[in-house]
Amino acid sequence: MRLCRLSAIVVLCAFATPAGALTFTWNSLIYWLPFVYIEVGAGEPVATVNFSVPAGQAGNGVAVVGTPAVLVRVIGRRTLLGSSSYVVTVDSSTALRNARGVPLPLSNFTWTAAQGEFAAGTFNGTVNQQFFRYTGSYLGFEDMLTFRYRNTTVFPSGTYTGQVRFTIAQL
Amino acid sequence: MNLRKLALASLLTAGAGIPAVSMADSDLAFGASATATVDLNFSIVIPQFVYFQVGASAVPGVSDSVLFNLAGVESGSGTNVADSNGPVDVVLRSNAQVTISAEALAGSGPLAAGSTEILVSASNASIPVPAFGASAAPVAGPVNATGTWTFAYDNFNVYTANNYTDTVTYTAATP
Repeated sequence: MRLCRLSAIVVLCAFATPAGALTFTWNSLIYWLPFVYIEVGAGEPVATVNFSVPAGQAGNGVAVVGTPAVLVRVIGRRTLLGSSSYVVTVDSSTALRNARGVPLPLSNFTWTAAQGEFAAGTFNGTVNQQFFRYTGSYLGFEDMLTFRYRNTTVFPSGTYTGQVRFTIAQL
Repeated sequence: MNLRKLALASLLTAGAGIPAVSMADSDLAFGASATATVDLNFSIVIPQFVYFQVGASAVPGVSDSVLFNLAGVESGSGTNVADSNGPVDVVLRSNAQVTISAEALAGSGPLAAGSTEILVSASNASIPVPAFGASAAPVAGPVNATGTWTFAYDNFNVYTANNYTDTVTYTAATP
């Protein structure tokens, strides 16, 4: 979903709010100050995508879908009239590990976006893989990502946990 | 669109005079060349398993046959007789150490218990073939291997003309 109208919507909301004056002040700030905003997941401190490989299917090449799908929302503005480039990168350099410390590289995971706002891809295990790039005066996109475990390699049993980090930058 | 969340964070930032504010699963940053970061956790459960296939079919209960046809061959000549059906496909996948064992022969003639006249070799060391009634050396996991087992009859002894048959069960076990 493209969020092109966000600024206008916020301003309209200001007049409908009891504390309209204060909100309008903030709206003015957000309208003039350059900013970037990123949100991944919802309702948790840090969202977790869970995968469970069915018994007997580890490494058979049949991908395992992670749950839940994850909302990714990126918003940014440079100035009222200016334009800028925004880039979202992902750091997948730290492999998942089980209780015995066995690594499971994040390159075993792929993603797709429900609405196609973000290109499908595979984590490449680096610190700054480009996830999304946009040039314009205002950035506003959101989509639901579904992650999949490729399941092409046989890993030792266990529960593997780890983390990726998304970074949005205004260039 | 979570406008309230964005509005609150921005308001706090503006009022406190700090350059950025982080929320639980979101981040907002002001200023030229600003950057904001968020994390996403991954958790995957991989159960211990072993998949073992002997023969061309992956369907449980469907067995391949090894056939030694001595028609036109002098019994007891000492010349090896190859399996007419060719090598047997084998597949082993596991994320743990695996030990493959073979049931003892229980037939008659060349297939009698204790017979050593059936020769067998493995094409892949990751799927060793055990002697009848014995276990092969454990294979360290994880393993994801395919190969073949090749059988031959050494034709060392002379047996009464007959069709000798037996079924041997191979087992792959994890600790």
